[in-house]
Amino acid sequence: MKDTILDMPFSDCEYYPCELVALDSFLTYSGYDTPLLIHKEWHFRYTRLDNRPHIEFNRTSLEERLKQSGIRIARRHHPDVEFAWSRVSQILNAGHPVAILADTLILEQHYYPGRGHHSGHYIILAGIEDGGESVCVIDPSWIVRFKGKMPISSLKSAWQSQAISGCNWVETLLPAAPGIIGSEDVCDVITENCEFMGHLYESVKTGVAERDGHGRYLNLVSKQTDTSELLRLGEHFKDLTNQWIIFRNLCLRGQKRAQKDMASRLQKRLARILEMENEAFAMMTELLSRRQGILNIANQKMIGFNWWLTIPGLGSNLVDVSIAIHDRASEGLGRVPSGVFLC
Amino acid sequence: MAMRNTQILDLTGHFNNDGISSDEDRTDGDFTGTGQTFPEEDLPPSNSRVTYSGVPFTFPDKSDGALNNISLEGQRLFVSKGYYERFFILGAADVTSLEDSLAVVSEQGMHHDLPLQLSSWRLGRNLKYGEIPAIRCSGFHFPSQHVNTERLDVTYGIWMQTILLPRIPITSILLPDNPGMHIFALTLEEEAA
Repeated sequence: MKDTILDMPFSDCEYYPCELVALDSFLTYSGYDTPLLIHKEWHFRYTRLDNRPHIEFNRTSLEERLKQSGIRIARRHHPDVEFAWSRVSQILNAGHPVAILADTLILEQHYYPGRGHHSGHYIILAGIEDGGESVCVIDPSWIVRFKGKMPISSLKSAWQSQAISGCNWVETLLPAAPGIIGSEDVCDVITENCEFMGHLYESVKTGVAERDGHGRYLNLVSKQTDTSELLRLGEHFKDLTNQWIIFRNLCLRGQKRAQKDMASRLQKRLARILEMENEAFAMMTELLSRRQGILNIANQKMIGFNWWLTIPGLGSNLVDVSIAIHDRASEGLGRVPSGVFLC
Repeated sequence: MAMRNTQILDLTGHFNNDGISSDEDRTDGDFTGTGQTFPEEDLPPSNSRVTYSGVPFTFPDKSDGALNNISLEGQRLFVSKGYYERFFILGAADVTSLEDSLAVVSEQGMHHDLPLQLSSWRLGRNLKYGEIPAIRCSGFHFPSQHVNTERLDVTYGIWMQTILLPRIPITSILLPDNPGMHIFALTLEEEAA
């Protein structure tokens, strides 16, 4: 049997989850001009996990949106690798690529940059080679961009790895002729993201209140203890609160009025906020190390809000500042603004 | 306030928010993003020349449906190239007081950042950033009612803020991306020859 290798392009989608990068390659290969559905202006992820705001892609809606353009995505799973391979090889032999979920630790033996731990990663199979002994693997992720052969036995090991609950693959069914992912879809995306802005707005509101509380509390303690460093830190938290309010206002406007550039505006603002959050953390750390004893700072305690936010172009960010003041002097303050930490 | 020559900047083309509603239709406009607006009845007439502390402004069109303020989203306001001493803003922040920075831009494209501070449209005791309380309203509009706050000793209003400028010839003002800040009018004061 003659080997047929599909000429799959790499994706330009930087920072995207690997599954979407694979999908982008797939759609480009299939003749779609601009996969707007994963357009970087409008790629957000959101879900809630353990009562913490946690951002994750709304998978169902992606499938629904693609379905409107005649593109069907079917996520398959089968515990038996031989059964799964028979299905996937049929698709490959019919001349269609398939995305599969592989264990990166096993891929590391072949091409994947070493990280030394198990994790699931989507790669594309683009054909069978060497008379059925090898498979052509395309890893379109922007940090990897690998195209090469891999023995089928190795592929099966990476695929069926129990560390990632193998074997998972994605079958993508396209209409006979590539259509245009058109304006209706764009409207859907914008509408969805307006809803997302609403969620984000609600999430950030808590953070704003907390940061405001931190600033007020630190100012109060600084006055009681006559500590200028705490005053500076309090002022920093005040600025931080201002920045979060602006971020929240952007979300509010994005929710009320769809604006295509809102993602990049949020991104820009968030970059500044994260810088300031890091500065706050550094200031806290320094203060703790220098003022131990004087302020009776005994140990650390985690406070603050803590959530993941993924915005295209900036990747995922854990918004988390651990405030670690234990000031025995403050115990005598009696009244502390509500919502404020105290160890 | 002793004023030199002033230039009232025409902001009409930059207006992107309707923050004023009449009592007849309080659903018109949305200043805060949550449906609140200034009561039209408490504000100067549409397109009228008003003066606060000696500074002249043109108050925008208040009619239903008209955009009458800039919600700051990074707009660039072009000015006649020249040296200016300072400029004055009639504006307010919605919901809460806000601080940010704007940039004045020279002909060569050099940016000079300046702080921009606007107190919330809700005035309790003092304006946070030392503005002049140019226009005070009896309260605000919700779509469902006129909320009169005078008895609570709280007013809602539009404030006059002053921005001092560096000694460089400027050609434009670049506003920050901070939609909670609003500008209704802007006047520049030329520098002494």
